[in-house]
Amino acid sequence: MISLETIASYALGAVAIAAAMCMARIIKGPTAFDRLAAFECLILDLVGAIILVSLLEHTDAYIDVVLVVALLGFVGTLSFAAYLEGSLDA
Amino acid sequence: MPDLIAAVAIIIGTAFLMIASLGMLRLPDFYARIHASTKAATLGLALLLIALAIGLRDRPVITKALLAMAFICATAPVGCLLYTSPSPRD
Repeated sequence: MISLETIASYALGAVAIAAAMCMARIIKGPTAFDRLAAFECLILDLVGAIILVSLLEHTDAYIDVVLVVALLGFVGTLSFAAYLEGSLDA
Repeated sequence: MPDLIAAVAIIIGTAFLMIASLGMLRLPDFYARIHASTKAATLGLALLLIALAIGLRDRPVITKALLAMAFICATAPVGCLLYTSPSPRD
C-alpha cells in the first residue's frame, strides 16, 4: 500500500511540470491577454502545489495560505483585466 | 479507506491541473486556452481540496477547504468572463 505522502510527492512533481507549461505560455504568448490567462492558470497551479505540500507534511498550517493566495490571485486578475481593457480611470 | 479516496482524488485532481496547463500551452486560440484553464483547473483544485479535507480529517480544515472551494468555483468564471468581454485585440 502506497502511502498518501508518496502520492502527494509524485503529484507535486506533476504540478511543477504543469506550472512550467503555464510559464512557457507566459513567455510565448502573443498578446497580453494570453499572458494574463496563463498567469491565472499559474496561480491555480500554485494553489494546487500548496495543497499538495499541506498533504505531504500532514499539517493544517497552509490552508489559510490557500485562501489568501486564491483571493489575491483573483484580485490581481480583476485589476489587470480592467487595466488592459482601459476601463480603469486612474 | 478514506486514504484511498484521498489518493484517488489527488491523482484525478493533479491530472486535471496538468490537462489545464497542457491546454494553456498547446491550444491554438485564445478562447480555447481560456476554456481549458477555467474549467479544468477549477475542477482539479476542487478535487485537491476534497483530498485535503479527507486526508487531514480535521474540522477547521474541512470548513476552510469547503470555503476555498466555493470561493474558487465562484471567482474562476468571473475571471473568464472578464477576459472574453469585448476589447480591442486581434
